[in-house]
Amino acid sequence: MIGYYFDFDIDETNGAGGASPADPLVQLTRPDKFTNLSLTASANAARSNKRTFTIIEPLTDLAKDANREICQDRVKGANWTYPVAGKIGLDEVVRTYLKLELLTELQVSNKAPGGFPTHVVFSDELVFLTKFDAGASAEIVLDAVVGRLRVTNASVGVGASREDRHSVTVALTRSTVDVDEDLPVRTAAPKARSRSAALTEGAREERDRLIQDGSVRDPRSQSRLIQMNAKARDSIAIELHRRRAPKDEHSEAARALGQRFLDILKVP
Amino acid sequence: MVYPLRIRSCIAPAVALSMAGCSMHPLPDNAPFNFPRASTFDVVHQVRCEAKAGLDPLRRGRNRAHVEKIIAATSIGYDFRFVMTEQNDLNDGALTLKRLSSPPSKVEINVTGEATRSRQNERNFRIVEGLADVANMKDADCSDAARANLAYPISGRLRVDEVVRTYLRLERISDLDDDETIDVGADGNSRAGVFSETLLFKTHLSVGARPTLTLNAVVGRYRVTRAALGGAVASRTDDHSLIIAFAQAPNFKDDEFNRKVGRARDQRRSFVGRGNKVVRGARTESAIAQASTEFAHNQVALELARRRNLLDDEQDGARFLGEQLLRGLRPPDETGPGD
Repeated sequence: MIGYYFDFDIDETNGAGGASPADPLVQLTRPDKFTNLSLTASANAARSNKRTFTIIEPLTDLAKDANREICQDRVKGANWTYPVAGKIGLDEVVRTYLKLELLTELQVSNKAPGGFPTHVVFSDELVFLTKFDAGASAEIVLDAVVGRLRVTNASVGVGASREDRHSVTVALTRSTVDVDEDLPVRTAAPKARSRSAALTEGAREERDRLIQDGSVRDPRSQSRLIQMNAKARDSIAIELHRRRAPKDEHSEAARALGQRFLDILKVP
Repeated sequence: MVYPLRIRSCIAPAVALSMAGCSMHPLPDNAPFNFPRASTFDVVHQVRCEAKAGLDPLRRGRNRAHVEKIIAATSIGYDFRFVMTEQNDLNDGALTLKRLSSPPSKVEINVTGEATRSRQNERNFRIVEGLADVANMKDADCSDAARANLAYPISGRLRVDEVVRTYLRLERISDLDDDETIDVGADGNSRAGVFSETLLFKTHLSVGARPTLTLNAVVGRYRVTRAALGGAVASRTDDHSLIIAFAQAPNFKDDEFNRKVGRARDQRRSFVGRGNKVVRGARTESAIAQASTEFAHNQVALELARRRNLLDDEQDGARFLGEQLLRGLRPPDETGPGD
């Protein structure tokens, strides 16, 4: 199973005014130095867009004929200016995941009855940041004329910027083998199990119990245990959320509060 | 004199940018400056081979029967996180055109520009497996030991063999002594058998150039008088971490040992869990729950999660503290599972 979380954050700004915010647009001066008129004006505009979406699908779907046809027209080269529009190298991610699965799958204990799954959840988060700023300013300086109020300085500045922050999170995992973990030394296990009713629970049930009875209270450890027991699709969803959560806007309040508290604690 | 200066001004940033590695998808494979490279798969493979190299001498030693028992009862887990950032910036680009005329007056046009481009990749995955699987790897699958790479450590030798060896030696002296009876004490206290290590590697490389071209203004004509770039900078930062954890199945010893350990585990379980909280505190409860698990696999998973959480909290202490404060401020009936 493969899951993607896309987050496109785009900001554009445009500004016009004096050469710099403090500069007047037009300055009229008389040589007596007592008459000076400065005219200022400025205009600023900002636009922002944030687009997020999640896709979770079986890895086998990507190999279907319909998908192959769609992919025939894909962009083949990298786009250095606007990376998300070009090839971003996800082929390596899938290849590496499959290699790691093969590495851990072809093992003795997994082939044996009661072998345990290795719970590989592989995720990659790519963040591309592109920012362009451009500006121009022009300034004309003229001499004042005796007896007349005349433009002595005219300046204008325009600026534009665009910031693109694109992130793609990819997570891969597979359905866990539907067998439960066994005690590693199988000669001792049956006896040990018979001695205590608690020992009859499998590793999967034990993880459930640790969550249900509140033995493990840390939310991140809990989600890890839940993820180990979850089906592939749910596991991907948990992984994508885990990667996204610290960067979410709702974390900012906690971060600001904590930072303020740390500032208070600092020695003056 | 102008032309050599121009040439130098143009070449310097070009050289600076080309020297740093540029990759669309930053990976451990595409290290800059042609450092020895290793793909993610190679890194994992190398770590497992080093772990096997740590096991081999002890498996051939005079306590091999004992060592084999420990290996069979042990799970090993790895938590990899590779964070790679590449940045190519052109800062404070400025072009000034000036026209002088007579009588004295001037017209000046300034054009500015700036470009920031960065690409970051954070790769994270965990593997939990039996130590026996590592021990049973074929020798042919592991090539000769790699050498340490001080500039780009993750692609070289990480000395995982020493970690494995130390774990096995500690296991041998702590709760196993071949066939001798183990006295776990009246309180049933025994070592939980969790051993973990966190390796952190950080490499930052940066190159830059700051070209400037200055010319005199000419009366009656528009002319470029200054062309400057505040900085053409290319950098790559690699922040890699590897957590390795070991845990042994608590029930692999003889019956007497199992009986006592089982009793101790049942007692520990009664300290935590809803309704009978003798011990309070999320971390203490998690530690007790971890020690009470019957499966090395679960112990390793909890240990990896714990170590990773600690690393995350260190890196973002303000957020963690704020979350704790907010959680403390909430009324008890609003707190959910895990709070």
